[in-house]
Amino acid sequence: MEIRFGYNPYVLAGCLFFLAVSAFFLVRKKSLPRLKALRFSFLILLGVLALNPALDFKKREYREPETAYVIDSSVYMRSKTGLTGPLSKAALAEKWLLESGTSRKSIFYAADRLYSGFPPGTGEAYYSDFEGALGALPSGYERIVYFTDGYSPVTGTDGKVEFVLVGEPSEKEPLRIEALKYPDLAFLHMPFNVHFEVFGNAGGIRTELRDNGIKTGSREFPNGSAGSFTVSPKGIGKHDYGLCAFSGAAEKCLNFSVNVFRDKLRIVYLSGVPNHGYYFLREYLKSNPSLDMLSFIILREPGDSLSVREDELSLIPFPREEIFLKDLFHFDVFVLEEFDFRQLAINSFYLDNVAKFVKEGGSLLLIGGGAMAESLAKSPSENFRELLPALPLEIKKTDYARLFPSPHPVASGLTENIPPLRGEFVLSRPAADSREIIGFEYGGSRYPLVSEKKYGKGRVVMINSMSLWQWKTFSAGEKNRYFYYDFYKNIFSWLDFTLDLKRADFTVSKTGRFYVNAYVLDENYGPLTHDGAVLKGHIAGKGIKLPLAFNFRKRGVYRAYLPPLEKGVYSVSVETSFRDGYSEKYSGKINLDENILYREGFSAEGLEKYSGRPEALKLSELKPGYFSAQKKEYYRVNKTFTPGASFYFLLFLVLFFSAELAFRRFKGEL
Amino acid sequence: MEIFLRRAKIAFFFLFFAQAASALELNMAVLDPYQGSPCGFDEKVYSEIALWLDGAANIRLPVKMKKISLKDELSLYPILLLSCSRPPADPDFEEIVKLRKYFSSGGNLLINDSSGEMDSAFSLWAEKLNGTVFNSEMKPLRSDEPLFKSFFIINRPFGRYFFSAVPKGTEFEGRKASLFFKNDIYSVWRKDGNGKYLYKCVPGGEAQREMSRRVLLNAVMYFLTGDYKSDAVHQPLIMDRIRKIDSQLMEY
Repeated sequence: MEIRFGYNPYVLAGCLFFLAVSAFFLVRKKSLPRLKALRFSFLILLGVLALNPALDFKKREYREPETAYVIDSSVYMRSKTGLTGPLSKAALAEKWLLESGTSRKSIFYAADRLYSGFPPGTGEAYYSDFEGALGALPSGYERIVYFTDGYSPVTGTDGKVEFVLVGEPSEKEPLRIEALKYPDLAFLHMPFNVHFEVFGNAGGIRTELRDNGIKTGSREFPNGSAGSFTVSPKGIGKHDYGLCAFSGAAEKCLNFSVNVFRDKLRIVYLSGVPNHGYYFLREYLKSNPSLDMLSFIILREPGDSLSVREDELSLIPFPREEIFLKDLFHFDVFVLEEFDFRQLAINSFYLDNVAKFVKEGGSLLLIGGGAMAESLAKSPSENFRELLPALPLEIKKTDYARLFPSPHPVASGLTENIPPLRGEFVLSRPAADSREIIGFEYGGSRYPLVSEKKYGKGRVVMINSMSLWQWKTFSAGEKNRYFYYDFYKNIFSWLDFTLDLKRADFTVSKTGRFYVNAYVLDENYGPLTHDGAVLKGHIAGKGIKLPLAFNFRKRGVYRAYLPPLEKGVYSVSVETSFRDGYSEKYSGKINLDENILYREGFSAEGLEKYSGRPEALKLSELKPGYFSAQKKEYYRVNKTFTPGASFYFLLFLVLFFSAELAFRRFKGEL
Repeated sequence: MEIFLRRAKIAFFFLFFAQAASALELNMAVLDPYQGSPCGFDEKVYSEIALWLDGAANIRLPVKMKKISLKDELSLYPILLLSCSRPPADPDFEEIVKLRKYFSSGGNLLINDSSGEMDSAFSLWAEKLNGTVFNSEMKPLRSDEPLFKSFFIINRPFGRYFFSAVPKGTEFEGRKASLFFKNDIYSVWRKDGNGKYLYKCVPGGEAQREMSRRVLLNAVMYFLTGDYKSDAVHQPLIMDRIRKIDSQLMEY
């Protein structure tokens, strides 16, 4: 039973006024209490009439609610990938609905807008507009059922929508690694954890982490438990890791890549003597904000003839032990300039450690004139001598040294006509496995001015003159006024390995979902800190070509989720356009070693993420007619009592109103 | 066989390293704007300064004093010394442009007023030159400038006369490209035929002369190391930050 009121506010206000005035006079009037009661009863009934009430008597019944069936019709729902048989996921949902006896009038399609009756044509909607489509539904529907794979965002639901997930079928392997989690990008020197869960038949599952095929860790984890490995990336660039689980003869590996960058280039700059080169190179390095530098210069040698008190000097003790033995491995590049190793008793122990630093991936820049050349020649460390790109022979002075670039990546970006230099040069013989970057001519012979050598994982560059500062002040002239900067930019890019990096690159990863991470670097080869690039891409292969929609994810990383695909080889193409107009196209082949499936489980995660509603039905588990079989409880209005339209109510009203008149007439007062 | 070859290589290396390393000379020149101008350095004074710099701080000047004029190529010498007793002729437009280009490419100028006067005509000339070349005026250096600690700690009067406690400098592209010494740190070096100093240092005497030498060394050192000494205080902090970063696990 339900009471409704259908009063008109103006009529109600007028009635209330009338009733109030009548009640006022009725109270003041001297009459019998019984008569007053009759009059008041009349007024009350009149008040009830003014409210225009209606009394509904309801009856409970069960029936199917009016339902709109909406099929997500994004590109990915409509693509035939072979994973769901000959039909796409949208077609599968449609087929299921028709088999359930659903009228076509009740089926709608959500793509770039709402389509009714028939699916959209060739118009592409990478993601369907869920909110827009629901807003465009005709009114009157009591229930909305939305068929989706969870790939398109679902926002703005109000609880009226029921979700049915349409995914690709999948089988769980007995030995598997799940919930693999690793960072999109990592920074050199900073360790990170790789998290995962392992499942298998045995009680304990041996798990192994490989870096570029080399085992870096191995541990046994209980079946079904979570595990992790701590990784310390050595060197920048793309690192291909493999996480493998072993159970008996079975082996399951998941491969993933992590791009390693430098947060800041770290340099230790040690100069053996005050000189112009130090002044200009330090100024150049200091102008680079993406660089941390510790700089030391030996201002006084033990042999200097100066008899002053120590407190009259402003000298900083050189932390020899800390730099050469302890802290060197925190740095990327060690610059040694005209440094005589005999000065501070730098013996073979110290130099061996420098060689170890380079061997493990550090870089060394040697800028030397006579003093360093002599000390190198007498270096007590055989390891250190082995890393030298050039072996000093003698020192010569010239007023004009012609310079020649060599076919080397460092020299390739420089001008062909390298500005000549004057001053002292160390004539040296190239060491085995070294490469010349710039050569110079002296006495009819050619000697390396700048040369490099790879030693272990690291690199060494040797400059055989202390006169390179002239490129900054003098010899470069107007034409090549930035030559000094270009040269050192290339040298340090070579030493910190960024010359090997592309400004844009991508990896295909899987942590729950398959995606393409595109890495975008700024002009200093550090991760781009803001959404300053536009990325367009697509994936093609096996007769299909699908767009990739990239979104800025975090510093230096744009991400596009991959559509469902059969395993196999595909080509990925990405074009990155920077705000400054520079753009870079890059493409590569990817080999999917398993089908990319948007499993129903995944879709639930997607829905939870976007709508906060994890509960969803799975199409594969629903029998045809599931929704039509669902009847809901409804209350139908069986009978309605409206006092205003009731004969008896009006009769009572007339009786109450005329009762006083009849009474007085009866008494003879009227 | 391999060891033999390696040893032979090393022996070859020592054998042919024929000449001992020569000293690394600085490219520093004395600027004499025009021929016959009241500016310049005495050869003997130059030699004495060179000896002092080498002995005290391993700074090696060319053995022979290099004297250049505004007509010459300046940029080969990142450090120029200009000491005058009277103002030379004003540089013309081309020379102004040349000087500006010199400073833009990293050049540095040490100006010394050897007039012995408080407000000399040369000091006005130097102020005017700085204003024209740099479009900014010379300002007294702050007491915490690296110049005062680039090698020696300078905390006492210096110069032939003690006209001002600090020299002036002109800021250009983030550095002090020009330093102006009113107190005359050149004349304190001059000696007569008997090897006695020509001028007394007023009021500090020999202690002031010693401090003048030190200021000159500091100025040259400043032009070779920039603000290295000011940065040095931050280096332990940088190292601590690096160590901290490397010891923490990356969150993602």
